[in-house]
Amino acid sequence: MNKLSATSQSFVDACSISETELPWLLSLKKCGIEDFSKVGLPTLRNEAWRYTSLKQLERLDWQKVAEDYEVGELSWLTSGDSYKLVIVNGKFNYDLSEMSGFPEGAFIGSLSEALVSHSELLETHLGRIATSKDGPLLALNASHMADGYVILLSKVQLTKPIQILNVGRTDGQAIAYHPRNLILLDQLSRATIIEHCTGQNAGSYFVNSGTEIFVDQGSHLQHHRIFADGPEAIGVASTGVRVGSDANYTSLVLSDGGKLLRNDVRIHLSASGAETKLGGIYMADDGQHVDHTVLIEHEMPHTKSEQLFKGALGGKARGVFQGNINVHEGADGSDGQLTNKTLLLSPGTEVNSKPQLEIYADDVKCSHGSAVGELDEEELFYLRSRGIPYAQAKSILVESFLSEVIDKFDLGELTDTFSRRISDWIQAD
Amino acid sequence: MLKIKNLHATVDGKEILKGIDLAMGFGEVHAIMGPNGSGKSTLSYVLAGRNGYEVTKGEVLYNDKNLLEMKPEERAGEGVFLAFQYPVELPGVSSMNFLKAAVNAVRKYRGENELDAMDFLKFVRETTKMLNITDDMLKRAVNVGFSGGEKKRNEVLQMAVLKPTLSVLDETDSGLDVDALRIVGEGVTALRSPHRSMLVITHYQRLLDHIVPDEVHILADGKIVRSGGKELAVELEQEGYSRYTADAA
Repeated sequence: MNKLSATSQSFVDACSISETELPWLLSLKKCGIEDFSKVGLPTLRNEAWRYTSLKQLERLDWQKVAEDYEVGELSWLTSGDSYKLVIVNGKFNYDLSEMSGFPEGAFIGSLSEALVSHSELLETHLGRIATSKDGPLLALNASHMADGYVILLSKVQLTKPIQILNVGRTDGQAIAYHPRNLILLDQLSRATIIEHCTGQNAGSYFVNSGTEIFVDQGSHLQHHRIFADGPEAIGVASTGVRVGSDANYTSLVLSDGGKLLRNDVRIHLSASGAETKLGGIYMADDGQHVDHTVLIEHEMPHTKSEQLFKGALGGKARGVFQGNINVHEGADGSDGQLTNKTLLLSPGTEVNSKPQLEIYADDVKCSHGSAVGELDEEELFYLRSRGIPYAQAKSILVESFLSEVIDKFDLGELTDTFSRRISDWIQAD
Repeated sequence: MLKIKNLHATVDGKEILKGIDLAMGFGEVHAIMGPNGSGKSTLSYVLAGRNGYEVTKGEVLYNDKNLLEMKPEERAGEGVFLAFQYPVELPGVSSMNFLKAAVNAVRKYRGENELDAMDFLKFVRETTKMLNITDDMLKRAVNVGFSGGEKKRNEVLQMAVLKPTLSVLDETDSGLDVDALRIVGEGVTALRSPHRSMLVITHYQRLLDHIVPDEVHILADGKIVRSGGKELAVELEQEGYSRYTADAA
C-alpha cells in the first residue's frame, strides 16, 4: 500500500463512523474509507485526473464543518414560484427551505430525514450508481456521508420547479465537507430541478459532493446547474445518473466560479429508449481551473445521448474537457453525439479537450468533435468596420459563441438567468 | 474630402499598392476598375483599416484628417464605410442586434443620442422596405445562410443606416443576377447626396449603369494608369483590360 499524503491521511482520520448506523449504511461507509485509504487523493498519474491536479488541497489544513453557521442573503436563480431547498456547507437547512405544498406521497428533504422515513428506498439506491469504485473522491464522499438533499417522486408530475441553493460559507477556517444527494423519479414522473452552488465570504472550502440520480420508467428530469462557488473554493461534484426505459435526463450546466472545479458526470443509459441531453457552458478567468468530465454509457439498444459543451477562457485560466461515449456490446441502434468547443481569449490560457468514442455495437450513429481557437479576426474586423469598438465586438462574439448552448434548451424563464450569467462574465472579463 | 497620396501597401511582405494618387470631392462618385490582382480589394481594406495591410509609404487624408492613424471603428464613426466583397457571416449574432449595436456605436461616436429598440425599429424599417429586406432576414444571424444577393443587400442596408460620408463599395456587383443588381443599384443611388462620396470598385461596367460615376480610374499592378469620365468604363467594357495588364507587365 502506498503511503498516503498528509492531506489524504487527515481526511481518513477525520472520518468517524458510528457503529450504531443502519447496517447497510455502515458497510457503505466502511467500504468508502477502505477504498479511499488504498489510494488517497488522485494524482496526475491517475488517468482520469491527468489534466486536473488536486495538489492545491495539500496546502491547507482542512477542518470539519462547524455546526453553528450563519447564512447571508440567499441568491435564487429564478423568482418564479418554486420549492426551495437551502443547504449550507453540506447541511440541509430546514428553517430556510420552503417545501410546503409538496405532493402527497412524494418526499423532499434532508438525507438524514430520508434515512429514517424512507430507509428501504435509500438502501436500494444509495451508493448504487455513484459508487466508491468509481473513484477516490466518491469513496471519500461515501465514508463521510452525513447530509444532503433527497427527492423521491413516483407517479408525480411537479408543476413548479425545485430550486436548490448550495451555499459554501466559512469564517476564516478552511473547511471540507462531503454532501450526498439522491434524486429518484419513477413511473412517469416529471420534475425540473435548478441547482445553484455558490459561495459566501471569500474563504477556502473544499466541497466534495456525490449525487445519485435515477430517472426510471418514462420519467423526465430537467436538472440545470450553475456552479458559481467562491473564489477560493475547490469543488468536486460527482454525479451518477441512471436513465431507465423511455426516460430522459436533460441537464444544462454553467460554471463560472471557484478556484478549481471538477464536474464529473457519468450517465448510464440502462434501458431501451433512454435518452440524455447535456449542455455545458464554462467560463474561467484569473487562474481558475475548470474541468468537465462526462462519461456516457450506452448499455442497451436504442439509447440516445447528445452533448454540446462550449467554454471561454481568459486570464491564464485552464480548461479541461473529457468526454467519453461508450457503446456497449449489444447496444445496437444507439445514437451518441458529442461536441466541445473552446475559445481562448488571452495568451497563457490552456485547454485539454479529449473526446472519445468506444463502440462495441452495430448500427450505431455516433460522432464527436472538438475545436479550440481564438476569436476570428475577420469577424472582429467586420464588426469594427461598422463602428463597434473592439471590446464590444469581442463581447458580441463571445456571447454569441456561448449562447448557442442555451438556444438548444427549452429553459423557460431560466433562459434569461443563463444569458445574463454569460453577459455578466463577459463584462467583468 | 478624400486625398490619397503616393500610397504604397504590402500584404505578407509583398507590395500590392505601388503609389496610388486619388482625390475626391464631396458628393462625387468615382469608380475604380481593374483586372483581378491589380490591388482593388487591397485598396479598400487599407481604407477601412484591416490588420495585415501595411502602409509603407504615402498618406490618406479624409476631411483633412490622417485616416491611416485611426482604428477601424473610428473610421466608421468618422463616416467611412466599406461594403465588403465577401460579407462576413456572424453565427449567433442576429442581424437586428448587429445593426442596432453598429448604429448606436456610430451615433455615440458622433455625439448623438442612442436609439432604443422601438425607435431603432422604425428607423430601420424605412430602409429595409426599399431594399426588399424581410423581417425574417433581420431575425436571422448576420449573413448566415444568406444568398449572394441577400448578403449584398444587407451590406447596402448597413450602409444606409450608418449614413457614411465616404462609401467604398468593393465589387458589390459580384455574384448578383440582373434583378439583385437593380435593387442594389437603386439602393446605392438613393443614398447619393451632395455630402456623400462613393468609391465604387468593380471589375465590370454593369454596376455603373446604375450608379453613374463622375470619374473612372483604371488600376493596374498597384497603380492608377489612366483616369477619365464615365465613357472610360464603356471603352473598357468593349476593349477589355488586356492592354493595361500588358502595359503593367
